[in-house]
Amino acid sequence: MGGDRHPVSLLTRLKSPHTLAPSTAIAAVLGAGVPLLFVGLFFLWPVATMMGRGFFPDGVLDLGGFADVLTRPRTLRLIGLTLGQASLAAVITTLLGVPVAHTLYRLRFRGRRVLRALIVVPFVLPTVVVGVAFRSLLREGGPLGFLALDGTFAGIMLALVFFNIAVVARTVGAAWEGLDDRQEEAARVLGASPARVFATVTLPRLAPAIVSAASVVFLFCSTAFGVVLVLGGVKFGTIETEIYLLTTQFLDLRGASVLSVTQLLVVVLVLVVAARLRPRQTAEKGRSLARSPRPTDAPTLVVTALVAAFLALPMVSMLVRSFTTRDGFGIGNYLALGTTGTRNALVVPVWVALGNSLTTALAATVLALVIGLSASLVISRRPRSLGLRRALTGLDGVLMLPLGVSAVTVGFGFLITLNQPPFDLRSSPVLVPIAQALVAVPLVVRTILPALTSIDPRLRESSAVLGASPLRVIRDVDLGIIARPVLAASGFAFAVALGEFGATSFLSRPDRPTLPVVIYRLIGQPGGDNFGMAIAASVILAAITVAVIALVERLRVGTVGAF
Amino acid sequence: MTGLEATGLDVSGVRVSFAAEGSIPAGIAVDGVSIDVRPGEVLGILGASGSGKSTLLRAIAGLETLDAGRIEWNGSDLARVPVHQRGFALMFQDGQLFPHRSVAENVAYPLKVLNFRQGLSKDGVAERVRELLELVDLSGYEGRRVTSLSGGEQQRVALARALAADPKLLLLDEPLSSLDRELRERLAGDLRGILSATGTTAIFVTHDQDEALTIADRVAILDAGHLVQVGSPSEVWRNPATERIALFLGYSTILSSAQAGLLGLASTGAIAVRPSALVVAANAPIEGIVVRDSPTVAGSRLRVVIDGVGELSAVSMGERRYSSGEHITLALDRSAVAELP
Repeated sequence: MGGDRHPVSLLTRLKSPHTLAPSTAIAAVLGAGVPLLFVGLFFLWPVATMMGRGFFPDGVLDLGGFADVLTRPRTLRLIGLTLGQASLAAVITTLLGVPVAHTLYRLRFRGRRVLRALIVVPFVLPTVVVGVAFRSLLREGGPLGFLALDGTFAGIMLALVFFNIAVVARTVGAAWEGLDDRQEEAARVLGASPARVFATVTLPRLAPAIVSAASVVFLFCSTAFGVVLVLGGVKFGTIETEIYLLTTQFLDLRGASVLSVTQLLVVVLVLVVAARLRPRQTAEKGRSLARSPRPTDAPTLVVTALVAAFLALPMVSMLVRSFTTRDGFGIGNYLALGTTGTRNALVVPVWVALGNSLTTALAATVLALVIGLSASLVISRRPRSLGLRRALTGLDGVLMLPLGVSAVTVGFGFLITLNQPPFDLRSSPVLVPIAQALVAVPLVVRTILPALTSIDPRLRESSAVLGASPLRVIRDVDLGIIARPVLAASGFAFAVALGEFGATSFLSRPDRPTLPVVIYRLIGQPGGDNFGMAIAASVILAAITVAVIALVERLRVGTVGAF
Repeated sequence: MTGLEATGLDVSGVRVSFAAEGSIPAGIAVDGVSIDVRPGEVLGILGASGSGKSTLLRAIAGLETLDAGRIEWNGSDLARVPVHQRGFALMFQDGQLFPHRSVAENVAYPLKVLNFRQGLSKDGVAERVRELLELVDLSGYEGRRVTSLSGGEQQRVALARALAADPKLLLLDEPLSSLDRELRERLAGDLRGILSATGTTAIFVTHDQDEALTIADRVAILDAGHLVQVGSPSEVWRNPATERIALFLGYSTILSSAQAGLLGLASTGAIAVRPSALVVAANAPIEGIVVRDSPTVAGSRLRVVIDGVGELSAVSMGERRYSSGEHITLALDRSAVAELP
């Protein structure tokens, strides 16, 4: 029955106007080209150059650097510490996050939406602020000072878990919310106990989301920078902080490159595994009705309450500390933000740094949105050719890379590649928003893409058949439906850009620091009002972040912060 | 040039294949199909699921790439005309209304798209939307959210939206299949009325023969990607071309010429018999023994054994029940049998 395919028909297929309509082709090239150019120029090139420094120290292939750097006892200890720390944090975060996901996405109770919003706050809080919050909690004289956790492994672990609970709760929660209850109901009717239903029906379906969330947490923790830098002191670190130290303190660029390459390999490996396991968000679209809590939900409710208290504690403690001055309770720390600190620790007053932060983050948001949106529109298409489909999966993967690759590597890569014409941008203020946008693009894509892929392709076909050109279809159908996710993604990108520290600390010029950079500098110059100012500045940064996230939450887009 | 006269749609030798997707291997959905649709005509394409009927419709709309063959409108080839410039409209089984737009905005959509090229005032658009909603019996629904409508209402809106484009050719892909039976039967009548009233040239695809009978001027039967029979509904019903078509059209049993003779039918070929062809009647010529009696709304559906013929379906009217083994007599309704060539 026509199993024979004539060469002629193959030819007409290749030249078919359907696949090569000029406007569609232009749109596809622009949609894929703009993100690729951006990521290529500002991510792949700098990072590849970094790798080149490791492999070709004097223009010839020399792997001696690897042997040399990777056999140093200190390096080995830090690599082990990084992996161990990230694995342990991923396990703890997952164990705590899954019950929270159940409570926030499967149960219905007053204040659920508020809790859902609050749980994202730690994730978008600037890493430096999280570090400062934990310092104010754990240091001698702090509310938990008696535990003597300041500068310990356990202290870092607490902060890492604090930071990443949202990733697990929201990723797993989004998947859980979409699960069709009827499979569980069928199992229960067949005689399975609730525990057995969870183990045999629910867990297998959640597994991809859980693995995906855990691997993302592992990535974030293994490249953690700000938190570890503030809390770890000299004893603890990660490959990331070591790259920073080697670059800025010891000027050992070869050692830093070797570590960057090592880190990149680990990151790519984890990303590949995560991509293979990533749940298809549109696969299951069931009726899922959140129900009122029952007595059997007590364990997950208790875990959620403890997690909520754990998340609130550092924030409250920081807020209280910000009003504590040397002269007792008052707003002295906030008033001091108009100055440059005790012994002129800063070049500009804190308020000016805040202004810098806002304008930079705004520019970064616009950039991330343009890149992320055009990439999402292209990735969401399902071309007939298998090769093209694979290419789109590849594009998706490349865009996710900046999420896991050390911000320090990126920042450092910028400095050694973008320092000569035609891209002599080293002293230009545009570098900071570009770096921040790189970090925000994956988050934008992850927020918008699920909404786009869940659009029934026949909806676009309806529009085309009724006379809409391909570009008009995108405007009327795609953009119309994803308006809210796009708005939510912009808010999310803004919050993330506002708090970005790793790359910004490398790239911001001394006379144009951002708020996180200023906070770090204030912590590093103890004495006088500086720590109090750092806390007050952190509170302000946190408050802005919380306000932005609260607005985003009002849009009720489930994919924000889910991976 | 042949393009001067309005000859409607000409499909010739069309073949469409589909690419491998996941575990489904590549294959051919439509093979060597040729058919035409004259202006003002309503063609029903009838086929089982997987017969390629939706693919053929999508190919005509320009949503599928042809491997071979031509599709022409009024004599000019459509191969290089993209979907949105063909001036056709396609209505899907589940409507595919835009969820982020109201009823009026959905119906006005093609008008606004066209407005790009022509020029219709805002009031003109509103007036046209009002007319269309009245046509589909949904007056006053302008401001409703489409997500708040019932399935039948959504399909009516989808029809109004498709008609708003004032399409040269309206393509309907199982427009009523997602609805329940009662609504489906009522809307089928409405659809026929609306298509006649607007003089719309249309092709609609269905797996429901009653629907095809109600709506179409002419039916084409598609089986495994091939066009197997074309004709007016009554022609096709009276003279199914093959056994397979007969069974698909609701004939339940195929009898040999010898078996048919025992029922009093003289024929040269095989005979296809509908389940309702044998009717229980007193003192009728055919004798049978009841095997099973299943009550229906109007009476009974029976299985009976007729000596020399075998087990067949029969019907009886009224409330009388029959027990297994009972001897009855049956009459043959000649309008419910068809001779196969």
